[in-house]
Amino acid sequence: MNYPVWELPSLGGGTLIAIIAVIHSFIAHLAVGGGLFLVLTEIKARKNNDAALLGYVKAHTKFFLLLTMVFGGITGVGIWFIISLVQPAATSSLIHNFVFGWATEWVFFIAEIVALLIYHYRFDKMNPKDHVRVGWLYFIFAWLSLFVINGILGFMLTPGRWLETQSFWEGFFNPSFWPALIFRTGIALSIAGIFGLVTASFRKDKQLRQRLYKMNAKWLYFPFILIALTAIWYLAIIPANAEANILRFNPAVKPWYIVWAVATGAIFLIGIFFLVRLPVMLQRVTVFVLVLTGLAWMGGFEYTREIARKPYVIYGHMYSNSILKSDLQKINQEGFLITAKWAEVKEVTNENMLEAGAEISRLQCMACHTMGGYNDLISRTSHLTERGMEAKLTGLGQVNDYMPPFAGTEKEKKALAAYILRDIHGKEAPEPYSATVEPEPVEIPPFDQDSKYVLLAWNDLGMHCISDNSDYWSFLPPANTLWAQLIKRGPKPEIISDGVKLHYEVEEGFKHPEKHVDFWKNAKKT
Amino acid sequence: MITQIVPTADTIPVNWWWFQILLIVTFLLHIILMNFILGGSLLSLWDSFRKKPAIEGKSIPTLIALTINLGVPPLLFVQVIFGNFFYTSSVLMAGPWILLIPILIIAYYGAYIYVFKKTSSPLFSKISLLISSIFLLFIGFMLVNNNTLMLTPERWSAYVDNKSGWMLNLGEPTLWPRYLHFIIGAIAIAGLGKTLFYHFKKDIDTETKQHEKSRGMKIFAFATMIQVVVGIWFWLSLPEPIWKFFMGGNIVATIWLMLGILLALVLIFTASRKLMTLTVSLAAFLLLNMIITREIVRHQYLKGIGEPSNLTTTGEIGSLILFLFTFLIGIALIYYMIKLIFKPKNTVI
Repeated sequence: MNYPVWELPSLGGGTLIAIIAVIHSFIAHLAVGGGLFLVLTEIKARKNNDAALLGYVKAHTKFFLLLTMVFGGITGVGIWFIISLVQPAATSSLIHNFVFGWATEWVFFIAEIVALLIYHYRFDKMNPKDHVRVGWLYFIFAWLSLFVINGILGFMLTPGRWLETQSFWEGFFNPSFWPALIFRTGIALSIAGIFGLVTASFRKDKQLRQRLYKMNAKWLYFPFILIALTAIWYLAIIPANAEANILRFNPAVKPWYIVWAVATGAIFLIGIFFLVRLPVMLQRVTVFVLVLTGLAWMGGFEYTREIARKPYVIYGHMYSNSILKSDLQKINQEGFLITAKWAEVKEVTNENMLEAGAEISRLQCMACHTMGGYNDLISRTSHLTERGMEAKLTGLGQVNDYMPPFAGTEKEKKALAAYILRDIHGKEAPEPYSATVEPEPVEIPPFDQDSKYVLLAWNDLGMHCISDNSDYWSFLPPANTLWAQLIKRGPKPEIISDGVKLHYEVEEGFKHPEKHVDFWKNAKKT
Repeated sequence: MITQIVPTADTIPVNWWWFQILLIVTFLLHIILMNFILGGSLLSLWDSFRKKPAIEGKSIPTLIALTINLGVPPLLFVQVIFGNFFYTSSVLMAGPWILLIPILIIAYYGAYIYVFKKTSSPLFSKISLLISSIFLLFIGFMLVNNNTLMLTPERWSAYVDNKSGWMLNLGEPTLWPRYLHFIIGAIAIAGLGKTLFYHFKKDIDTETKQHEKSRGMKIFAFATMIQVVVGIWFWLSLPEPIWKFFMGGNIVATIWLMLGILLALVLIFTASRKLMTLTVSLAAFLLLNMIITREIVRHQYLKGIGEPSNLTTTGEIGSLILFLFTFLIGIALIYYMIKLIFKPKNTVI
């Protein structure tokens, strides 16, 4: 734990990352697919001498430039900003491992911008062949920047052999690189169709509009085949744990998965609207709904991918709370607070317990949880007792493996549980439990020196099957087993197991243990 | 004590000098463009209140695109060699830092509105330009805050009472002179940009051309005069060991800074004599001089607590080769595309 934490208790840094990332991802995919859309549509228009279609391409270019270069470009920088504020350690790791990957990405970025500026500002001022050439260059650069960022994004989910070698190339061309690249290319082409419909709906010429709808609907639909096929490949490659997280265990993923699935269907259905003739206003409203659906789809996908990576930020290497997997054992032995550079409290004492707990919560929990917002810590712990909270912390990373294990000593764990229960929930500290054992006066008969035998007797369960909540927890039916052993005394003691008969008798009041517990009320007699 | 809270630095693939040089070169390009847009916006604003048409203002949106783009590599390289300082100071002022993103988006769109609405809605256009300029100034102020805060870990302890990310470095003595040094410099270089713009502008009458060119030079000369004073104020506001470093403490550094000051004085002269080519070349060198000085200052601040030469190098050279290779091809293709614009048949159509 190297860095200070930006405290955003109710909003959560994760929420900010999500907002910026989803918007950026949507526009950035457009910037790639839209490049191919522009150049192919221009070629088509020029080939058929179609002035109306060419006019559309020109208008679409301006819209495209204002949306992708300004909004897309700056939100891209925005993701970098926000991740370095919320996850500085992970960002530092990505920057240092892939610095020249990022630098390469920047080369494509600047070439992309120069190409787009020329394509836009010289639309009618260049000979068509050269203009189309610049259009192609734009698309190639845009796609190459997807190529680079895809490698680094994929690395976070499937670092593959990088975990052993730390090699740039193994991290970059990681196991999910190719399926994700093709998958995202499909998304990019599909989104190009969505935004093609946006500008199409604002064309005044009715006939042209109808023609554009048909053309754009194809852009929207056909890439979906690519997306569907690579989705299967993609899912086959991600780690088994992550897949289990997505499909089964982590409750946080479910809404996003549903959003994703519903939006997929909705995009198809809404797309059909454009193939039938409708009033232009209705079409504009529909296209607006389509853009929002597309955004939801993107959100569903990116969120699902993010959650699949839990409990890591770099799979198998760094946990979501910036703790390195390789440091865990050391932290558990030496203590978390002492190793966290920005912790003000360095050691848990009886006096500073809640303060120390707050510190641990800030440094370990707040990377993902909020107080009352997304991934709310308060509602997730309200049903627990302090002891239960401790048990839950112990189970992290084991019972539920979509959360990182608790890092720290037993004392620190207790402090965190105490802080959550007492400070956040205002619950009383549990009464210190001290059982006062009153010695039962038992008369021990004096040892008979002359006796030839010693009889030992005991039972194998004692009291440990009895608990105060046997309605919920009971592993054994009420019963007991009595053991006895008879030893013959002498210079060479001997266990006697033949030729003797042992008798026993249960005292009054203890003859029917099943009458004292509710076991048989709860369990069906078989 | 301070070193206890400075985060541990990550390893770097190749020798830190690579990143230092790349940082200087790309920051130089970024700062030139930044000067054009910030200084240009302020000058256009000034002109628009004097009801003077300033056609050079229409290039601002395009220049913003390139400024942001060229801001990426220096931001990347500074994170590579000073990341543990930079990330920390960014977290401490996370609120305003993340606000830079929406503010930059608004400033950028504002510049487009300024250009698009200039004739159809002059008032709206002017207001947009005003908002853009204020926002650009705000961004500069936050950059100066972060860049000074990262150098002063002794101030980081204020985090104890301000964990919500709204900690600015307002108590820093160099803050205002440093900020002012950037703004005045931006106006000066934008003046020079104006001269260059009109020099290369073709469809314009000679009289306007000469008038505007000479105005640009005057702005540059006048702003540089103020800049020398502000610069010296900035220099002397630095912590004593650092300003002394440039005043005999280190002979190379002293000569280097003196060279810069001398250059500035020479530039006032060449600009007032309207020697454009000489002024532009010397000014470019002066910018490089100042940027290198800025790096020396940074190293002096972090001496003993975060020297890049102490970073562990992994020696993985493959990705560097990938970058250099892509960079050359990228430059060649950008050159090719720009050449396409100026191909005779493309300029005629």
